[in-house]
Amino acid sequence: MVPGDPETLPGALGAAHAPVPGDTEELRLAPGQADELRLAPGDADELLLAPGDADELLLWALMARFERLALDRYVALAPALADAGAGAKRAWVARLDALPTDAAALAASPLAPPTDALLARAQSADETAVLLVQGLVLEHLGQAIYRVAEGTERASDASRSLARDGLAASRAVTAAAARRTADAVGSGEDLYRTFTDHTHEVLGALDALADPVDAVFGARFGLRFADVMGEFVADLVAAGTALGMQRRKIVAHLAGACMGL
Amino acid sequence: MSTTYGDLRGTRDVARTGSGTTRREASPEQAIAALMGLAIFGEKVAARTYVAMAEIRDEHAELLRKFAGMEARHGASFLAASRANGVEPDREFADAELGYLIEQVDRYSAERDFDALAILQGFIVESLAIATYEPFLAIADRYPGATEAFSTALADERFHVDWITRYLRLRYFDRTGEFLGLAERVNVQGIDCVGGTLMNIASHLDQVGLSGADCAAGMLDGYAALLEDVGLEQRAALKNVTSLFAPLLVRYQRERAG
Repeated sequence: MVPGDPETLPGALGAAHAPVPGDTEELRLAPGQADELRLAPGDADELLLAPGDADELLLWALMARFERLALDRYVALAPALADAGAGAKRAWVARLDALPTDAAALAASPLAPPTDALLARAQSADETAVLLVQGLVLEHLGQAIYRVAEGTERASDASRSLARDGLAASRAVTAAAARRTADAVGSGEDLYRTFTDHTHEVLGALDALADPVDAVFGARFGLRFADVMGEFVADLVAAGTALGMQRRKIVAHLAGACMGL
Repeated sequence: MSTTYGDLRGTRDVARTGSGTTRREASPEQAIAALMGLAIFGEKVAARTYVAMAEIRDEHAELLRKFAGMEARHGASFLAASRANGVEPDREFADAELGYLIEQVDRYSAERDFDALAILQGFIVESLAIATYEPFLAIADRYPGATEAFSTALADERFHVDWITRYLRLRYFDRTGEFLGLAERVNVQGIDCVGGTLMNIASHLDQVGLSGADCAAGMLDGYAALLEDVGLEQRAALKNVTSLFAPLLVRYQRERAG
């Protein structure tokens, strides 16, 4: 693979990007190497995102921030998650980094302050925190966003395709995270106590995204905070109960955190 | 169909006690007065709703009038327990909360929409009642007479829910998609209304020693589970109910912080 050449990226937009076993081996990047995969100006013509799709690019810039932090934490503290799905998350981050997103536009948008605040609470410092904050909560939040984005007809085909692939990459991680969580953190009531301790702050920061998400993405392509939360909670409850936590308790924790209690 | 944060914002006011203080300022005495007011007058509205349902369906009229009588007795027993403990129910607070619900009930009654009333009263309102009465029983011995009144009411509400569940299961057997459509239609205002009331009493519940968050979760999860009992998949039920609760939770946090 030639670094910087989007044609060689399995996930390049416009290419058939279903990962082929073995392909992703090439995409196991060291932290920082992703910069080499950024497209040069003009390469964006190869992308299916229309130049006028600033809001869609803003979505992908936003997701890239979450995904970069997740990959960084996985590489540092939970390598099984970085390697899950033959390095699906690495490939996905590389692909997001290759998009012609505008970090300055994101920083100037109303999405920036709540995103900064949320990510500041998600600087997981040990494996348990990474498994619960990134591997459980934020991966399922991302899946909710990808699922809503994939399902909206007002998004471009390129964005819907991206969302589909982001969802697949995230699912590979959450499957590995569930296995590792059961092994390393436990299950049932013990896990619930650890889960609540580690995730309360992050969940309590979600509310600040409500207005900016609706304002920026709601009218443009129907991605609304309430719909994302519906998807997110349904998924998180399913994932949590699969790990032996009680459904009612998970809902109580989510409700309490979202109410700021 | 989904409803958004933006669609729902502003449909309800911040709850105030009868003395005009906001819920964040309410004393424990004001909180219990507001809660008892809502319980007493809420039971009266429930009785009225079951009567409205009886008037639509002759085949269920006798039973539904019995349900109405049970609800009226709950209200009377709550009032007696309240007065026995020197708590004057806050009617102004209750009226402010229940007006929105009564408007929805009256609209469905005028449309003779029995199934919408069944979900609104039999599932959503009863879920609120169960989600608050059940934990209240743990502290009810502080208020002489309250344990008996609320344990009877809780058992009765569960009986009502069981009947509504069986009715809806039979009616929508093999028509889950149609049931989902009905639930989504009722939920848009029903959860904003009844869930909004729960948010408006959450801090009152905290004041009297309960957990507003646990009660909110009890209603959210309890109602979703009822939809599952009728035939919806867990994911669809939780997704729909949560998407409508989310704006309420967000608004609560903001008002609490603000």
